[in-house]
Amino acid sequence: MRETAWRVFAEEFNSAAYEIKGGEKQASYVVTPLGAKISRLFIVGVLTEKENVGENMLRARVSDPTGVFTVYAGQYQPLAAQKLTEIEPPAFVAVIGKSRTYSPEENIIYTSVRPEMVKEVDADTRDSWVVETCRHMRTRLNAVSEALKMDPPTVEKLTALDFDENLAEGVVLAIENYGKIDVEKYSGILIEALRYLLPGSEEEEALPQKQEVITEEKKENEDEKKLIEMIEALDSGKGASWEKILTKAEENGMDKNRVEEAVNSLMDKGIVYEPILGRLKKI
Amino acid sequence: MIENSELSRHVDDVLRAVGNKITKEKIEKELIDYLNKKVPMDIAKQSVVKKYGGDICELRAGVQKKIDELKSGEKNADILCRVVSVNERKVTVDNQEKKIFYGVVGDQTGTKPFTAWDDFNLNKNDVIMIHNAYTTEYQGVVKINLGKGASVTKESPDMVPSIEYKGKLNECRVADFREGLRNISVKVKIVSIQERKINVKGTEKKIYSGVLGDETGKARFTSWHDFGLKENDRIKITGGYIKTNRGLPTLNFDEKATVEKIEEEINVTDRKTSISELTKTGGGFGVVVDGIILDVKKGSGLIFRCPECKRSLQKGVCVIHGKVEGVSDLRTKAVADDGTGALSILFGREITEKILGKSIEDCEKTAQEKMSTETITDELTDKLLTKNLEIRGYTLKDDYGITLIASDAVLLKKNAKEEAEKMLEELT
Repeated sequence: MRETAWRVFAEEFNSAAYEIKGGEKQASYVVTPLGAKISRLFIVGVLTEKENVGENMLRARVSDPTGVFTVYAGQYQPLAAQKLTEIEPPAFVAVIGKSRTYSPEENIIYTSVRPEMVKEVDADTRDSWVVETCRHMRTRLNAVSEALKMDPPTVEKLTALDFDENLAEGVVLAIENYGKIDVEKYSGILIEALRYLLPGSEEEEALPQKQEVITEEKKENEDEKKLIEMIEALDSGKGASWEKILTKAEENGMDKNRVEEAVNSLMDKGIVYEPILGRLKKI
Repeated sequence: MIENSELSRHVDDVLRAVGNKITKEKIEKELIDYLNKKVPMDIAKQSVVKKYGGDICELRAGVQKKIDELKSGEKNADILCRVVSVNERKVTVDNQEKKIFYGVVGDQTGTKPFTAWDDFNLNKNDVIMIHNAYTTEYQGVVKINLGKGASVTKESPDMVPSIEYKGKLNECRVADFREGLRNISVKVKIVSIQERKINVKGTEKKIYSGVLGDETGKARFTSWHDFGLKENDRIKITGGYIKTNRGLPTLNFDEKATVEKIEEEINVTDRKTSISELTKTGGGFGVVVDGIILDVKKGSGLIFRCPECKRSLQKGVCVIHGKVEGVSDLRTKAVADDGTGALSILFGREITEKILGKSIEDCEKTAQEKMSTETITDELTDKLLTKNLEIRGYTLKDDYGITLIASDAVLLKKNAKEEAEKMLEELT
């Protein structure tokens, strides 16, 4: 039976630290903290950069509203690799691929995607994927919340609550391996991802006690705005160099920390990317 | 000859019935005397009890059980019951053919299946006392077994009223149809019906098959009896059972079932289902799935079929009929995935033309210009891959799993922003 293509955001996929190693004829699975038991996944995001690493190996980064997926295509994925070579970043891409892990030392696991299929898509496809992924993430969050109330959580009890058996198995494994799962953190990520789809105008009335947070956010947004302007101004085609951006930003009264934070946030949002190391470019 | 342990149990029975008036040894001797004269064990016991002034009701009361009291693992139960049905079957035990009898027995408290491993001369509607039966459990149902040690005595018919075998009636809806489900009671509307003639043991018989449905889905049915059904009839069927055909649950009913016309309106709709649910239940007749196309398989697009057998040709050659002049056709073989599961889907010319936005003639023209049919496959792949498709149809099951044969497929355009707003409202 064909493995299901899971819908997960980069943040959830990248925080996976548990893998079920397969055998010769058995698939390997990456289990995320929310119980997605991933052998295959379907992602849609912005191809922000690609780079040749080693012989016949292409590394690409695909960003979504929560983070960045790392995609490795090699000689055994000729069609996907060729497609990646053809598509110029920045571009919306859909990737169907297998989950892979790399563990340089114990307890550290990096997850990546080995693509089976790559296709350039439009913004609507990306938006549809985001909302669909939100829907699946909400189901996983519900399953994990229910499972955390059980002692011990079991597949039977979860399927009795109408969760798919596949997911129930993943959730039980997740609780065994991650212990206390930070449901609130992931709920926050889910809400952020949903807001990402809505028009930028944030007209909602701020509650007084939230005032401070909002000004903080505003400041960040202003930093980001300024940085975008700087990057555009300093870019003569190959992107703006990191040192020049930093000097310029410091002249404008931003310290290195604030610049780094803003740049990271911009990269996460898929607004700027690194065409080559040390250079930033607006998408 | 009866074994000692077996005999001593009967001796104990008699002893209890006569109230310890005589010794065990005496009873044993008496019983053996009867048995040697080929008197059945029960008669022998009853005779001994009567002879010594005991109560033959006592003989039974100690071990007698009602049908609904029987649990799995009973070793020597006595059951006063009526034979609801009995059938015989030949089995081979230790290379020897043997006749066994099976069916259903019941009393006022319920019914249970039984198997008699010997011929006890059972007939339908006999009221009998089964002595020394044992019980087993199969698939959650307790079954009564009449083995070597068992015996049967005929009783007067008024001891157990006649029983209409109902078993446990499974009131269900079309979406609940599963292989093995019996004694179904369901309200449906006939969507379509055809008469067919089949041959049963040399005689011609008319059967009626078609499609029925309710608000939860559609299913195929076969009626083995003429109930005078017509299209759009709304009926209640009691006593149907499910058999699956290539993974598809089919409702069967015959003259033993009750079919009544009903007044209430039934809106037959296709069953919306997630792919994991569909795979778990083994398929369905009128189903709708909503998934993303993640693969368009080889053999999709413009193909050529053998004019004889309709098989698709490989390089102009049919595996059965060799080199033939192919007839062009369009089809799509793809994989839909909704994040809960993946499903093979298949659709033919009409839907493929709709997706491509051009006719088969146009496709042939394009293929001729480009000297290859691959261009159509590429076009189709581009139109479908990563797109959200709503597919309705029925499933077929084979060695490779379930395939959804589409009767319609529509590219969906969803409003992501609206859905995101709705979800945010629910979450915050």
